Amino acid sequence: MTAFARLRYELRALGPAAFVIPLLVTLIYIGFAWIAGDSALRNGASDSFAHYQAMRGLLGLIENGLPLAAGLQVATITGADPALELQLALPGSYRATGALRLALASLWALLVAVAVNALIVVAGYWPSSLISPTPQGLLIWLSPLLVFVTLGTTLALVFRSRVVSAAILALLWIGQFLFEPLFLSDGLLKLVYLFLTEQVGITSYWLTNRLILLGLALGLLCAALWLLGRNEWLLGAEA
Amino acid sequence: MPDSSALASFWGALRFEFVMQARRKALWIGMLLLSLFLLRNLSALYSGSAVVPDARTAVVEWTTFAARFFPIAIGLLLADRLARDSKLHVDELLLTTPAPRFLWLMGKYLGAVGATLLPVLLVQLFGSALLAIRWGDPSALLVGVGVFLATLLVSALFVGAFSFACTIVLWPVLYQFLFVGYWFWGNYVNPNTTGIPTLNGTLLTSDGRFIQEGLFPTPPAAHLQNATVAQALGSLGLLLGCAMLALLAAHYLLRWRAAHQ
Repeated sequence: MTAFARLRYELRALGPAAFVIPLLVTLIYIGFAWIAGDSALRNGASDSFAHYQAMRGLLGLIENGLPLAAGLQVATITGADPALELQLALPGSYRATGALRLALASLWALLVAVAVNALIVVAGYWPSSLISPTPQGLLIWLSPLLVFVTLGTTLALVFRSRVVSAAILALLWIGQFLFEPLFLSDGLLKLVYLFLTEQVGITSYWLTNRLILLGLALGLLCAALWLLGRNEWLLGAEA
Repeated sequence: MPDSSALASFWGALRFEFVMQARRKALWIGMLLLSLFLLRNLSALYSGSAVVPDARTAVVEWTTFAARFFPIAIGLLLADRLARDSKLHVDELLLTTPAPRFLWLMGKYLGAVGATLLPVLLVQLFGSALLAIRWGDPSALLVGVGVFLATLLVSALFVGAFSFACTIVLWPVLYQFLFVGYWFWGNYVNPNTTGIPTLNGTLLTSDGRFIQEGLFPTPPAAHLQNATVAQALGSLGLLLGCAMLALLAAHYLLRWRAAHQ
């Protein structure tokens, strides 16, 4: 099988959901951002407040919407291969196959995030007075996205269950809102708070937070790659 | 009136689904891990404060906090139950049996919801027992069970029914995302500050807030809104009514799918 044919097969194996869902998520968030801005105007708020409400909605899309969708997607991909036994019997490493699938799903999520980022800038909803779109602005979504992707993969492999991985990701996501005061009042927890930009803004520790999250994602990626190489562990997954 | 074989299929589905779900290691490990999120809340209630003057209030607060949190995990853990039958082709096998489809679906639904609630109940009882011991008031345990039934059980039945119905027509990941988004939108988003219309604050608030506040009221300082008993019963009826509609939709969708296979 040529590399191109292999790539085409893997893309088909990912299924249409992997490609369509980030786009649907984008449309849903844009809808809510528009409603928030329009509602502010109808309630007599100033144009700048309506603009701010819509901007928060769009920041939410890149900082918490797309990362959750990507995390849930990779948890499903990692934990589901109906021909796993067959693949493990082949000379090729399953670790490489798993890593390729993870990379393809993440790449699409990254491409959508880059496109949405560019659209926000072009549409004039980027918080330019606080942060430039590149290079630091990319960390608004890159850090949480990579954390969700690598955490979703690692949890799916550790628990050998897609739904448990999804449940933990979902609660971590909700927990960022529900426990926001707890995260922000603790010196260590605020450094790993995932939705810092949309919920708080660009703080003095914003860059440290983003870099620590990237480091965390790197550590989780190493753990996921290690688990992908443990064949006997992979075989015990839930049906 | 269903005959005895129909009831046997209902009980059989309920029993087997309960046992299958309760035996999932991932369910126990996942739920107990998620309980760690609640430890800080339990510790704050254990210490007591002006807002939490007695064991009854502490137990009500403990359970309602869990009800804002656990149903997300419950909904997601139930979302793969029907999809699994389809993936393993058990649904095709079941079609060949004389068991009535709707009773089978109800049995499966109630068994799965019951088993998924089991670890949550244990965590809730553990916390309630600690709080009852702290104030030396064993009757608080009974209040805890009451609030559990009013909030977590109703919430689990509501989200469980939609997890069953929606996964018949939606991609699993899309459902998971929409469900998490729904929970945030319908239970957390404040329409006054965001301007976004939401179910939050209506009788369809699915964390059971209205039911708890109407049937198990706490001192006014503990909550911003106080529901009446009529509102509590209205919320209970609406949530369970919607759950039943979702199950009926699931039943007809499964029938339609079987006819078009």
